[in-house]
Amino acid sequence: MTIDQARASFDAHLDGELGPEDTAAFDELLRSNPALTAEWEAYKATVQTLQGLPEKAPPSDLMESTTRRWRRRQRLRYYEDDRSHRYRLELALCVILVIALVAIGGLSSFTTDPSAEFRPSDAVTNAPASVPLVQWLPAFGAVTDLSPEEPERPRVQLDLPSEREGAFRATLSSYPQWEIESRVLIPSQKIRYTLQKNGPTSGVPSSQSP
Amino acid sequence: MSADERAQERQMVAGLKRGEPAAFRALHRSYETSTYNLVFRMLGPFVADAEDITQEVFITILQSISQFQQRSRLSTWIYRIAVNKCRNHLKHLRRRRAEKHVMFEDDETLSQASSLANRSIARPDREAEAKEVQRFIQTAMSHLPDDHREIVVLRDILALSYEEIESITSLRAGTVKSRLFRARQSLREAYEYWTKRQNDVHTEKEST
Repeated sequence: MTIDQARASFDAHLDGELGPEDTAAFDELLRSNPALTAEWEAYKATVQTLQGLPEKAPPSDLMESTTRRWRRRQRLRYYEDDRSHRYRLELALCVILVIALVAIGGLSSFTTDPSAEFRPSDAVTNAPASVPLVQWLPAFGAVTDLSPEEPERPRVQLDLPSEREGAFRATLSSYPQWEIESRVLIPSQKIRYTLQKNGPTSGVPSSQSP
Repeated sequence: MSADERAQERQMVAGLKRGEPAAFRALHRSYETSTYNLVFRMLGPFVADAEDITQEVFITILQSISQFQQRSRLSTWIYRIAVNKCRNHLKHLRRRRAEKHVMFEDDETLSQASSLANRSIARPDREAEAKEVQRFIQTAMSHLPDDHREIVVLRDILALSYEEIESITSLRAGTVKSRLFRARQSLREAYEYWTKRQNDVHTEKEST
């Protein structure tokens, strides 16, 4: 047995795992090597000291403090769960509210008072051929009768805001007997149309819409 | 482990799974000292956190008892939890480079070892000397690498078998034995340093 082998056998010797032959060889080596003997004695003493270390007494209130901590954590978990439930409820309410608002907004677009704002779709779809164009025109803008003397060939001037032009043109398309004589841009973002009808019609109403 | 002890353990585990306070009290009484000692010794220089970590070990037991299948002994399972808690805590502290170096009992560091050796001369009785050696070895232990100290604690302080240590640490037998040997060798060197210092001081005193 070499010194290194003997050193590596320290734990096996302490644990009683060394066979009789190895034990004899180990003891023989120790007898012939005082340095190794000293090392072995110190090793044994160290292990004995470690194994003899006094037990460290836990704090007397360890169980109580553990129980308190456990309860506190359970309470916290309860509150956290409660909070997360509340959060989920609030989220669900918000979603419902948003859906409701969207639905109400959509519905209101179908239920708006038609007199509140003139829409091209109303003009086109609701304008019966029996209603003369001149009765629609005040809904688009300011109308001036340019031919009060000639009721058979009415000629009108319409000053309308540019954003209403589309609606006006859509309505006008339902009245093929009317022609656009001129279209002029005028200040304050308005457009001035001069229209002429090629056929008999009634006079131009001065103020009211149909 | 006798059949009686095994039956008692099964009963305790069943009680814990049912959430019985009496079972928890019994568990705490049975394992608080060994668990606290394991944690206390394993934390090395961070012993101030030993109580906190021990509490966490018992709380984890309560939280995870439903997962305990009784394939190993209850003690092995508990020590595994404790070892993992200590490992994580040490890793966390080292990562944060905590400066919470509270040393064993009297805040003694290895550098103060000579004064410790000197003091023992003033109290030459054997009991006092043994206590001084123990304190010195404890201090030296706190300077071991964490993974070496862990094995020393399990083997020499808790007196567990190699099989139990392997199961607790998830290490192979060879690794456990080599770490134990290296740790004991380091402590032996510290022990030799201490005895040499003590002899030197003793000789000095005699000559004067």
